[in-house]
Amino acid sequence: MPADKVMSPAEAAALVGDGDHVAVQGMGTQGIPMTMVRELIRAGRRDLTITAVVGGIGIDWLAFKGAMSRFCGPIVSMERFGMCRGFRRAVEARRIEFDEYSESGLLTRLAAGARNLPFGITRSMIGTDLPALHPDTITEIADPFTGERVLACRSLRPEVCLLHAHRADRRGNIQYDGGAIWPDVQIYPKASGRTIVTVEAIVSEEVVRERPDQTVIPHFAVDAVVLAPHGCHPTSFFPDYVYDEQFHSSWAELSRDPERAVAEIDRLCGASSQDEYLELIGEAAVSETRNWRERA
Amino acid sequence: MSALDAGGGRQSQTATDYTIDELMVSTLARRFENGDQVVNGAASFIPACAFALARLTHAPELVWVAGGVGLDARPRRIPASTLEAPLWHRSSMYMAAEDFWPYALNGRWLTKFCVRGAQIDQYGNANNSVIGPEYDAPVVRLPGSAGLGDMGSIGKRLLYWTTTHDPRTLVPKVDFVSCAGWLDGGDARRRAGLGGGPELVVTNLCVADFHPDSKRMRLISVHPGVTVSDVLESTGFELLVEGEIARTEPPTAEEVRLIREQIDPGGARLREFGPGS
Repeated sequence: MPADKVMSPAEAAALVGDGDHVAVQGMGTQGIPMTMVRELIRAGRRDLTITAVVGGIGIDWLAFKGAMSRFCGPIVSMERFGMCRGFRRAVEARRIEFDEYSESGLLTRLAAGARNLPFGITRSMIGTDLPALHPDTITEIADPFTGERVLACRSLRPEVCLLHAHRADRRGNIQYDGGAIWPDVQIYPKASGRTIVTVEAIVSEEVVRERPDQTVIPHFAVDAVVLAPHGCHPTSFFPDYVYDEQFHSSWAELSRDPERAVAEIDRLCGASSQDEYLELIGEAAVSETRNWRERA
Repeated sequence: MSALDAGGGRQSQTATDYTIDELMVSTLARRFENGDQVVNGAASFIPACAFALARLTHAPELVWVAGGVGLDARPRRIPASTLEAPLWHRSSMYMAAEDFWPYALNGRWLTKFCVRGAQIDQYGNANNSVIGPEYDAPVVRLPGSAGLGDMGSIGKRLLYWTTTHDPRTLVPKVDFVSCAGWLDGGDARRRAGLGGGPELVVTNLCVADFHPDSKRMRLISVHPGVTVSDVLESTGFELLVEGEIARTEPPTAEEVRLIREQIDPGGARLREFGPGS
């Protein structure tokens, strides 16, 4: 029998340790594996370093709850809903360090990690103040063939990554429907020590074999599969659902007050299962985000 | 073609009823041509409207990677987010980010890029990282450099826009260089090995470019109703003024109609104005 990698959110959270570097899928209001973000908060994780290509509301929650001490990436923003206030406040108060790279600078580090190389090279960030922030991970070198100056970026190997996908089989073959494929999906599993994937649905291996073109991560690179329908809420997961506009708006407002913000996170993280969480959100809000095409 | 021909007569008529957002969209749109490829970033409503307008008027072959994903998207209208799926409507390809970056980094494609920064300085460096002298103890933490840290360093022609032309935004020197402009001016950018660079600045008050030698920001035109001294007083550094300053060409009546009725009837572009913008 092949290994069965399906487990509960709590079992998957046990694969993340205090102090780990955790790469989290997401682009602002898009595609954040929120079920696992809530589970890390429930588990009381501390001192995490978080990497994201565009950090969004999930990073704000981890910041408010004191679960992270460092962000390693290019930007944290909820796009049209503005800055993540808890994250901003924590950085300004020096409780969280913002280890800032350009987007392709971060991807250069991860791509080197994915290929088990000591460093990658890039022309990005030259002339900016970003390289000087990182004497330990960025240094200027000469192209050995032409002498041109480029930046060497030390490889990055997060301990664990969190992704969300459309479906998986129990062995851990991960499928995405057509649509935007973020760099997270392509690089994180190869660069990270462990890979946890929440999915909208768990299907049989036979169903996966009908559409092998949709499999984007092979089972051998996956450590945990967690069933989490609507698992990116309140962020979007194309093409299934869009971001919850009402949720983000009210979060942007109530997160002005740290006490209310933490109470709201605690309320939502109090749900002991994905079903219970969706009950808290309400059927109306969930179906609203699914019927987006007619409004687009 | 016939629709464009039919509109041809009206296209050249200057609008009398227009607002500043429409003037900015039209000014930016005229900088994009058939054969250009462009991409828009987060909360980039003015550029998104400008790309759509250019395609409906003089540059139908302008290639637009909407939200960095949707190749040649045909959104029904500019939606409330310039990154999310509604903007990628009827694309001819969903570009994976791992595809997008090699195309952008390659040098052959996507040669123009629109930049907005919380701070822009007299040499066209932009800051979207921190306000204050110390990076580690910021007075205000901004969202982060994101793609600006790439686009400023890889040979792109940079077109800036800001809806807040004031001394807080247009500063002598940015607190942090998130996007490399002309650096310290003169040939500093070339000495750093960088091609391309800042070309144009479109604000809510004026249009500026950069002096070919000193690379200092230089006033080209003031928008109708704005005086040169208004602009100078609203700028945190000494803006170069050479000779007679023109009045910015207003949008045509047809451009205004297209923006209001076809491209952005929901007024998403107004999200860039007012509190919090």
